Amino acid sequence: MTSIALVGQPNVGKSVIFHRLTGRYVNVSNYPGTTVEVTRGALRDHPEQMVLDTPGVLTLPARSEDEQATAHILLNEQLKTLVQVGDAKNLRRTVQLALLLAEAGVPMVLALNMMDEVRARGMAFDASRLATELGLAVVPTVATGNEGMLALSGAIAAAKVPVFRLTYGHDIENAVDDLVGMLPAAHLSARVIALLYLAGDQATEAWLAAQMGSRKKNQQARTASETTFETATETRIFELSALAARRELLQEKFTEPLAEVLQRARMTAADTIVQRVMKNAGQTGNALVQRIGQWSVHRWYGWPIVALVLYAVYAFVGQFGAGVLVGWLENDLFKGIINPWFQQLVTTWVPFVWLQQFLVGPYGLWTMGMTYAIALILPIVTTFFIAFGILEDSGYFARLSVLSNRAFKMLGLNGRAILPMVLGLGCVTMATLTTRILHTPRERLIVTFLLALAIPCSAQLGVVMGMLASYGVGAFLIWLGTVIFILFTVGWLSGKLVKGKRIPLMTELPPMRLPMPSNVVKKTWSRLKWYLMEVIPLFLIGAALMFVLDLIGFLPWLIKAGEPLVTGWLGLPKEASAALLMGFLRRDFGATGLFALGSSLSPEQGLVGLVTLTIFVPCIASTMMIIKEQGLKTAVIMTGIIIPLAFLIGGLMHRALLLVGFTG
Amino acid sequence: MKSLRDFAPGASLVVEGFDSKLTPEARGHLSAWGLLPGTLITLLSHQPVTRLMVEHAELALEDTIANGILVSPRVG
Repeated sequence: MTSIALVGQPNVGKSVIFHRLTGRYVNVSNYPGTTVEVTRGALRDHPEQMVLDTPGVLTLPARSEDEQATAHILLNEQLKTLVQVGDAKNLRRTVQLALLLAEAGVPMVLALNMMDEVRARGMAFDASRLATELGLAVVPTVATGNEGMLALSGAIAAAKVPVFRLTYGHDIENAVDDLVGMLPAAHLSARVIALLYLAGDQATEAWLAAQMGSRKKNQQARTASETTFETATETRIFELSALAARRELLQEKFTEPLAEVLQRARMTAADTIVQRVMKNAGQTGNALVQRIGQWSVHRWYGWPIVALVLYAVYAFVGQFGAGVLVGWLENDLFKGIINPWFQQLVTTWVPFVWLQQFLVGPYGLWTMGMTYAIALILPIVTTFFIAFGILEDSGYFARLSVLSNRAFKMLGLNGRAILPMVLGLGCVTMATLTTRILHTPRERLIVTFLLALAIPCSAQLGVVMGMLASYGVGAFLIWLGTVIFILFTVGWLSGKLVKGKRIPLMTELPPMRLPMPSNVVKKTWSRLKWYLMEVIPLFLIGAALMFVLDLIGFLPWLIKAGEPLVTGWLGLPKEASAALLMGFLRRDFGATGLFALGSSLSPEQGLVGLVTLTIFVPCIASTMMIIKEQGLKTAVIMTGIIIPLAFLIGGLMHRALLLVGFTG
Repeated sequence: MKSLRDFAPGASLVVEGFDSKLTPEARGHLSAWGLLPGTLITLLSHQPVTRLMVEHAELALEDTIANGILVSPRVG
């Protein structure tokens, strides 16, 4: 099967183009780093051709794990066509990457995306002249508006290897020529591999090491069988040390790192080309939305905006979603109409009492599993996903990295760490994967731990907001303050304990824009679909498990055995043990268990229960992701720290609330 | 040579080079964004971090990085 790779800088619309070309929807967001893994989908009308959506690369050499995934694809995949998706308004940067990719020896097309933003800024350039300069097809597009997509499909079908070569200067060209003679055969041109190697690209180095290993194995096998002798060509077997020596020899001629020298050569050439094609450089946008973008990172105005955004989310999700909508669904529809009717139906037609209990008893599949999933969780996550999608599409999240940088500095991190954490409010499992946008293993380890510890996922957050809304804003602020305090205290300790240096903040802020309703609807629907497919089966399994544990007497035993901890230490009613047990399966399942206890909990008990469950063990899916990203040992250590800590904090909070006489 | 931190927000500047204290990783990142000698930039703010525009892209840089970018005022 042949592949078409979409490659380009972060946040330029690769995933939207992927959706247009394949019909397959992947999450699209207005901040760099949404795609951290390669996504594959069949090309519409030509299902035998696979389209690859790759993580954004600012430039090559790749600097982070997600960028290396893209370099890996370029080196290892047999590509039919390379489609560079570029930000048309940042033409210089786009052309700079094109100057490298155009020499890869693969048929190539340049999609100049976001042409609407170019027009909004009054910019104008000659795309056909640019095509001539680069020796490849250039297609202006607005992927979100489906503009230019037909032309792009046509250009992909007719793509040719670009007729282009950038001359880097005598010394570099000599080194490239030497290296080309020492390199193994590859899908990409030897010249581009040589350039990547000279720039110190880690993915290229790893690829070369692997190639050398396989060549050596083949050589040993041949020697053992004594069937062939090394030929003259085989004497050219490259050695990493020879390559490294040639690179060092070139480096000696420059005071700056080679990566920078090569980058400057490309940027200078890009500058010249852009000057030739640019008709009007345009103005920086000054629309109200962009001004809000400026205020949102202002040292003073930024914080009231954060508070306003938080309050708006709280009002929409906590009060409207968990209050009004859940009230309609749970009380009026389920408890009022559906459940009594279903219970009547089951008791009439099902002859076995145990089966009746299994379906409609206190831990019944319908009365617990489906009621929790549909009447409680669905309205909450729907409102949360809408609010989240609006903020995500506006570009606001990336701005939080600027405001929060000082706070994260205390943890030995930088403001970029907030992105996985904010995404964790959507789904901790996905956010754990997103830690790949961070630059060092140290940053990834600390952020993964904090995600597992104190970041509630959407469903849990919605349930928390719903319960706290009935206790008042004060209770919400206490919960929020406690969780943030734990997050930063544990984060500060982790920052001290985990070895490695801190990387200062360097990030690009995407332009603020009005969220597109169609995008928000699509994202909400795609998340809801995914969420329900995971939640409904798990809630049913959870309910079935609880039923069995109750039937065999384990649940009553556990409730009794857990009394000293749950009732004595946390001050919760003994029934809350069941909710904590459910929390092992999913934190939101546990939180929903508390929510279902309703008025039998005092505000103080509700608050203690919610704080304990927020810090409690991450869900099964998140744990699996932690194992995948950090290894089993790390996952076990994290869980071993988190569970006792959750109970410790819960108990201390219970005592503190009693001391101050908190009544909600 | 003056650094980015020596100019007031709103200034139009030309990148002249980098301080030797800047790490190769940081220099690599900046050059990938197009911040190379000769590049025109506009300084937007210093607080809570330094923000600047290069082409139509907005970058946010911590003080230690901003201090390492050497610039001069744009003439004309």
